[in-house]
Parts: sequence; C-alpha cells; structure tokens
Amino acid sequence: MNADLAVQLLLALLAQAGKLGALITRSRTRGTPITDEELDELAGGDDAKRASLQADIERIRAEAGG
Amino acid sequence: MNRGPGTLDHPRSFRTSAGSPARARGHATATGLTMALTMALLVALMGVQGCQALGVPAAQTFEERLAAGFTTVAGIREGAQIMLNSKAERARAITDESRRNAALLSAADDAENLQEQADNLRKGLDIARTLKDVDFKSAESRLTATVTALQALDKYLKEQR
Repeated sequence: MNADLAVQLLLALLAQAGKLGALITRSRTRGTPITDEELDELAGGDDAKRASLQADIERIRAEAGG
Repeated sequence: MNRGPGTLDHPRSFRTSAGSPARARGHATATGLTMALTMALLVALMGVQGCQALGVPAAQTFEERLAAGFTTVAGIREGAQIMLNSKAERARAITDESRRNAALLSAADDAENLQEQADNLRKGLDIARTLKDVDFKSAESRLTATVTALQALDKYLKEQR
C-alpha cells in the first residue's frame, strides 16, 4: 500500500472515530441517550456514502466496458 | 448474493476473486478487501471498545452501540471507495487495454463485495433499531449478532495475514 493511500485511509478512520466519539460524549454530557434524530443522521450519512460508492463502481465498470 | 433481510454472512463466505478464472485479479482484490475492512474494523473496535487516545469512549448503551454500528458501516463504504479509486488510478496506467479493463473490473468487483457486506450489516442494524420499541430482548440479540459478525470478520482478517 502506498503512503498516500495509507494517509487517506488513516484520515478517514480518524474522521469517523472523531464523529462517533463526539456523539457519544455529547449524549453523556447532556445525560440522555443518543436520539432518534442523531441515529437518523448517522443512517443518512451511510446512505449518502452508499450512493457515492455505487456511483463510482458503476462509472468504473462503464469505463472498463463491463 | 441475495439474502433475506438482516441475514449476516459468515466471514468464510466472504467472496474474493482469488479463486476465479481471472487469477491475475485475485491477489490485488484480496489485499484491497483486507485493507478496507481492516480500516472499518478499527473504527468498529474503537466504537465498541473505545479508544482513549482518540477520545472515543466505549459504546455501552443500546443507542451507543447502534451509533457505533452505523459509523462502522459508513467506514466500510468509505474505505472501499478510497481503495476503489486508488486501484482504478493505478489500472489506468496499464497500457494493454485488456489488462487495463480487467484491473478496472477487479477494482469494481472488490468494491461491490464490500458494498454487499456493508449492506448486510446495515440491515442487521436497521432491524435491531426497529425491534427496540417492540421487543427489546430481540433487538439486543440482533445488535449483538451484528457486533459478533464484526468480530468474526476481525478474526477472519487476522487469519489471512
């Protein structure tokens, strides 16, 4: 794995971990569980990442003539 | 790979192209898969077990574990996308057209595989969330099964090293 890729993956990892940590900390600070809205936001974020990945997969398949 | 809602594949059923006729695609595919999943599992382990150095507390409640699960699934997709684009960029440098196209398709296959695994995990999380207000015990079981699947994937990856 080249260094640029490793850095990209590490930054993505840190960003995900940071968001999760902030969410859990915020919930504990206010003394209530993570809300449905916050979970919806996480689920929506995953939906967006899914769509983006699928678009790239299809674009690359088309480029290869597959 | 059709599955019923919420079913989770055993890691041994993990599909790579290593055994396919296009053997040239195999090693790179398995390696990419491993790297992307390793990244996602690091997020998962930080979410489920916590990581003080990064300021991530261990998920304890049902909602916190769900949140860690959604974050993990998104991490799988993000890792897959980074790997896909990196491999596609390398493939474009191949001058022979048929080899270039094979490499591009291999990268797409690899990413599609990860997408399917992420979809599986996501279904498990969605079912656990829906069940929570109806039958908490079942919801807890579903969530535990999803986390267990992540841990099984971790074991699988360690065996591949």
